[in-house]
Amino acid sequence: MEEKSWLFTIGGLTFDGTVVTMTILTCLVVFGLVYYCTRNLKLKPTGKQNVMEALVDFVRGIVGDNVEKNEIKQYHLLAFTFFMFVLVSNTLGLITKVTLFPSDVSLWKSPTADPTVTLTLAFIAIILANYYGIKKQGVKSYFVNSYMKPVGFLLPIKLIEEFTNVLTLGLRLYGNIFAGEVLLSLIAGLGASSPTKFILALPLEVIWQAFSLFIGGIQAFIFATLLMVYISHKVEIEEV
Amino acid sequence: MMNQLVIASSGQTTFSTILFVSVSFLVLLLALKKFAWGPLTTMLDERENKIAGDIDSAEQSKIDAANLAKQREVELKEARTEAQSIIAQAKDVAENNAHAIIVEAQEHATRMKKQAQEDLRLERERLLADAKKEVADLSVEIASKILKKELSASAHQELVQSSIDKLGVDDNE
Repeated sequence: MEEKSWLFTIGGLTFDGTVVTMTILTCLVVFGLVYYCTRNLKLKPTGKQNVMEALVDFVRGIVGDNVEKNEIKQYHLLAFTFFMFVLVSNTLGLITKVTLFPSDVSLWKSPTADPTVTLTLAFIAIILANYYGIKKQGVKSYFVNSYMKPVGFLLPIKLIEEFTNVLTLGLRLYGNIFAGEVLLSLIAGLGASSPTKFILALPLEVIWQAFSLFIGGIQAFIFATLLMVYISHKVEIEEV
Repeated sequence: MMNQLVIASSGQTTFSTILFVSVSFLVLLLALKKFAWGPLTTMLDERENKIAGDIDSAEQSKIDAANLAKQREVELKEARTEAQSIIAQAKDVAENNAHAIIVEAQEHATRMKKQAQEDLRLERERLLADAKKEVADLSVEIASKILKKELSASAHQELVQSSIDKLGVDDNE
């Protein structure tokens, strides 16, 4: 099972059109949702405002579990954006599949079903964690705290850990979402092969979509949590 | 195949994808911050403050109410004590008044009785004197009527004199 993307070139750079489109769509959906839900804010919340506040509070809980209380505000928006971006992009790919025959070009998928995207997100997360660490502690103290504790000779392992963090954070997300989509396409392919199998495949597809939706939510939650865990590791001074 | 599985469909789009995703994520972050985040967090903070304020003021009200109730109780107790003292005082005054009235009434009655006795005595004396005079006149008249026929003027004079003497004795009684 291999998915080909629609490619185009601008100024010598070749872009993956599917990922680009879906990323833009994800951003628009996230922004539209948040924008729509934060109009006419009232002290006594109603309807859509409740939904958005529940989401914000949920992310606030994730952030609050990992950093000190007075620092929550600093990371809240970042965690919220990551959470919403991952959640929406995970969910978008479940809606449908658009494939261009006969070249087998896939026009619709979750941006997070592409490893480059998830690794980029993970990379941003790790960079930010390091950035916040330096910002809060200063370069020297940050270096000592992050790489020389509890003992100095762990330095190489600690350095490698930074890269493995990027890989685990990114590939976990990619694996979950990509696998979900692959299975969805397989079931869809099965259903398309004959009328009898269509009836058989329909409930399977429904179940798997529900499960993928659930997985998408869980992965967004895990991504936001790990982001905050990494940040808190860098930000907080470990006492030995 | 391996290459294609890990790095999406082809290696040539890796850099552009990284760039594009990073930029779009950043734009999304800034857009959210500019258009939605401020009002939302302000509102959440405002509500938090309001709830905290409400709880505080409710607590204050409770304390105030308790103080007020205590004050009322004290005042009620005071008022009750005062009322009791007023009643006791009034009772005393009334008793004193009653006593005074009774004493006065008794005095008055005694005085009236004395006066009445005095009056009675005077009246009796006056009546007695009147009666004596009347009797004397009557007897003189009767005597003169009888004697006009049978006695001489000298006898008449004698009789009158003796009667008067007798009356004088009576008078001395």
